Amino acid sequence: MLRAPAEVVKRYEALLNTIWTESARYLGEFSASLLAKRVAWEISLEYPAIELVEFRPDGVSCSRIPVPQEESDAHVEEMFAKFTQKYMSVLTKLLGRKRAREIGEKAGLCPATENTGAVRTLEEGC
Amino acid sequence: MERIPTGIKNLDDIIYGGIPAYSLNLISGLPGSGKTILVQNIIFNCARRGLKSIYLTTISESQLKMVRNLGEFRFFDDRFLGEKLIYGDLGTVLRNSGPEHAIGYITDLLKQHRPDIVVIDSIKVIRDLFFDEKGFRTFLFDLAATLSVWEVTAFLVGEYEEREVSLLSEFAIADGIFYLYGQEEKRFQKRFLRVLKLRGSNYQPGEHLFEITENGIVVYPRLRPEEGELDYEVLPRRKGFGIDGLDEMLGGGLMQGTVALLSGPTGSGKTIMALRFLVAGAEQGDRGLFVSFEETPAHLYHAANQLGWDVGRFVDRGLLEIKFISPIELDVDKHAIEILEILSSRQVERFVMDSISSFETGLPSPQKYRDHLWALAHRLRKQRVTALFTYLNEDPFSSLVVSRSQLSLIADHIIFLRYVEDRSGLRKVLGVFKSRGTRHTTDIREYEITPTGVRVMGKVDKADMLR
Repeated sequence: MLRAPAEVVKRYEALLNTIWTESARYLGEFSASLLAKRVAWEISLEYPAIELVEFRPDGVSCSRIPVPQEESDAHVEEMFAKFTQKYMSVLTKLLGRKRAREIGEKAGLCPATENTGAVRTLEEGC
Repeated sequence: MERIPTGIKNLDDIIYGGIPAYSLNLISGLPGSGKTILVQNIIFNCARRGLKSIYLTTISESQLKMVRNLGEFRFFDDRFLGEKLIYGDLGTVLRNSGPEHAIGYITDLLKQHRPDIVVIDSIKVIRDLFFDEKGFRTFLFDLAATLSVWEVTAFLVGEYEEREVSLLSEFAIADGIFYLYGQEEKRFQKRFLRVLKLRGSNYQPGEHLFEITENGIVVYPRLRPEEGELDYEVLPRRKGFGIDGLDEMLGGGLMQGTVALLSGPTGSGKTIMALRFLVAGAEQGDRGLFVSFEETPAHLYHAANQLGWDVGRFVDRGLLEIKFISPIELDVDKHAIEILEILSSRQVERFVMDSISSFETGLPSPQKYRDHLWALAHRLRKQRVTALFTYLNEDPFSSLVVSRSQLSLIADHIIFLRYVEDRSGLRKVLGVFKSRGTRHTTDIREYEITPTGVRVMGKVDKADMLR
């Protein structure tokens, strides 16, 4: 089911906020920010808009992401999904599978997300 | 935990499989201690497994010099240059733009090359460019964070003295600290490596000998009993000498997987008896290893042939190996490990070391001598090897020196040989002081070396002969 882009951006903003907050507890804000920037740089090679996501000490903001009014959400959703997958994948390597899974679960992600599986939420059913 | 094997012989065993992935490691030591070669050896080994490394030189050694010097080593392969090994000049950035631009330069390289490993050689040069400790500490913290989020395992090479380990911030921030140093030890100039810290991983502490060879770095782990090694099963099988009287005194021979000490003065026949022990084993199909520090294989073959023992036949069949190590060249840290490797790879069942007195002269202190023998004896027991150590007793008329250096503690059996005066002549006698788990005889018996071997005769019946 395709969602309106604004809804997608809002949903991912909430998800990234949880991941960001939880991972900063282990990595520290500085390293979590570096990790986000590193992942954003990689994803930006394909989706330049990802660099507009702001990772600040008070949380993640997607307000600068341009939201297309008429297009489907597939492109935006794909961008966020790839970002989340990559972030969780590196997090798993740095913190170990158990901690990364805990962080993912707090954000409502299915366990497969920490590897390279599709980003699905517990809400959607794994 | 994910690890990056170094591929350096024995180093991965010391650190239980390799360097923890994404860790920041300090390779420290004085100039000439082998730091750069160690790291280069590691990244070339990693390149062979497909991993990519960036090697950033500062101003301690130019890239040209380094690559030219490395060309002498077999691990060097110029096909990797520019592909799996990217050399970068951090020194120019530091000199022209200042250390505050170093992280940006490194991040650009990470984006461009996506390496698995980054080396900075030397981090000490960068430290010296900072005016204050706080600035350098901040730089290091940023560097460590940047490298880890890019999934990079890092080696920072630096010229440090050991006393600096507890003082400088880089050692606090590092996940792993390897300290390399040289030491004059009796006859040799030796190199040692110590792991001082390895976060999230176990490692073997203590000093480990290493050599820089044409193949690269070879590490000889510190000899020590392995965990859980102090408990070993008692094996009922006996390993005899094939010398009737002696085997009878020992209740049939040495118990399998035990260590015996054969003590005696010069000319008493220790080497012959030890060789006989291996020949008796070979006759039954037991593989034997004779490590001689005193007589060459040619001398031993000759002595054996004189006694009618066809040692060459056993050597040809792989049942007997004679390894000669010149006492001048004996390096116990290295040779003990090599001996253990042979024992393990060739599935040796009987082992002779002739003599441990030479072993003693190869070590700098009585404590190290005892530690090495203790560890070696326990490894032998663990591998169920039945071992015989000969020991030169410098007093031909005494049998009591076996308690020196607490040697009796390492031995399950102690057999002594000695001379006694009989009127105007000398006779040889032997006895068994101790034989764990055996009801051994306490007789003192006369023996002689005959044209066909060793003949043990009856009990000495004249008490005054022993005075």
